[in-house]
Amino acid sequence: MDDQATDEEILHQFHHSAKPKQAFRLLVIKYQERLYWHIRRMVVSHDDADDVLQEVFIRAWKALPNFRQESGLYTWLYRIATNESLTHLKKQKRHFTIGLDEDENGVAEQLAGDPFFDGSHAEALLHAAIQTLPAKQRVVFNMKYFDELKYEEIAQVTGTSVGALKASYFHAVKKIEAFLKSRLNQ
Amino acid sequence: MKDNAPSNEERDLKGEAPLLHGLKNAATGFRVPANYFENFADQLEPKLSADTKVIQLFRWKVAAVAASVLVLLSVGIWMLTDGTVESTTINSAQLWESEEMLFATSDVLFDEYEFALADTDDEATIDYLMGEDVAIELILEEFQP
Repeated sequence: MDDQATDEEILHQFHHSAKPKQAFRLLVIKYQERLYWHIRRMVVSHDDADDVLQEVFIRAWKALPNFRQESGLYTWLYRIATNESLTHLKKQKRHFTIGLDEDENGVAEQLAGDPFFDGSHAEALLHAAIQTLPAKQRVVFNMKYFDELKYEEIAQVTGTSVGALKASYFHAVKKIEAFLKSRLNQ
Repeated sequence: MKDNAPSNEERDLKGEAPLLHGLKNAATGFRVPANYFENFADQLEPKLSADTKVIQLFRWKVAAVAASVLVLLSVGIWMLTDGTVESTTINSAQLWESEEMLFATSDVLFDEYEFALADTDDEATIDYLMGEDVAIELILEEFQP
């Protein structure tokens, strides 16, 4: 990882060299993996995550000339990825969101048929439980639980106050724990 | 750099949600196709160029179509009216009907929301409002004891 260019170097090369695409390629290589997993945990299927990730970088390519560095490059990309994921979920709301009172068969079936999922039953249940959360709460939960971001960092991405994020996260934790308890103890 | 001692947040998670805490460091089970990340930048690159060209072409086409429509409309109106255009008036009855329809629509919508919320508890309502993009600060203000 140490041989990767810094954000400052990437931005300098993007703005001042004759080959901005080369600089952008460095940015893609540096952040593709972290953004992919952030998106994948939101949208579940690999194909959807791939589509959304491409859209994120296409948007970033168009917007980078106007990027004013008021936030870090990663925070900015994370924000685009979050918004794109939410937009994608909104389009597919009826397919991917299940109510707490419904069973998790939809998500379980989706994961069972996904050639790019080989997790345990408990892991599949965890993903199914996460899918029961409202999309924005899912963003907060994933950033805290999987990415272990600080609330202050999540606040920068989501534009929500730290207090509200804490409340949202613990509300999500309680719901997921209840979901897991009811399914694993059956 | 992380130190090995559990943080307050981890202790809270262990206490509040032991099952979730147990899965914390497990793999997610998600995989990607072979060499996906190695090839991603190469596959993306032509799309960056294509996207720019499509937008430029699209803007040029939109401008050309808009200009053609304007010319056709102008010629059409001139031919139909023999060079004169009469102004049209909307009578007040028509306006009143439109307004009534607007209120009727909002009543129906309001009824539907009331119906939808009638049999739900607070938690379901909070989920619904979050799903509808209502700011969480407003929700907390309303529902916190």
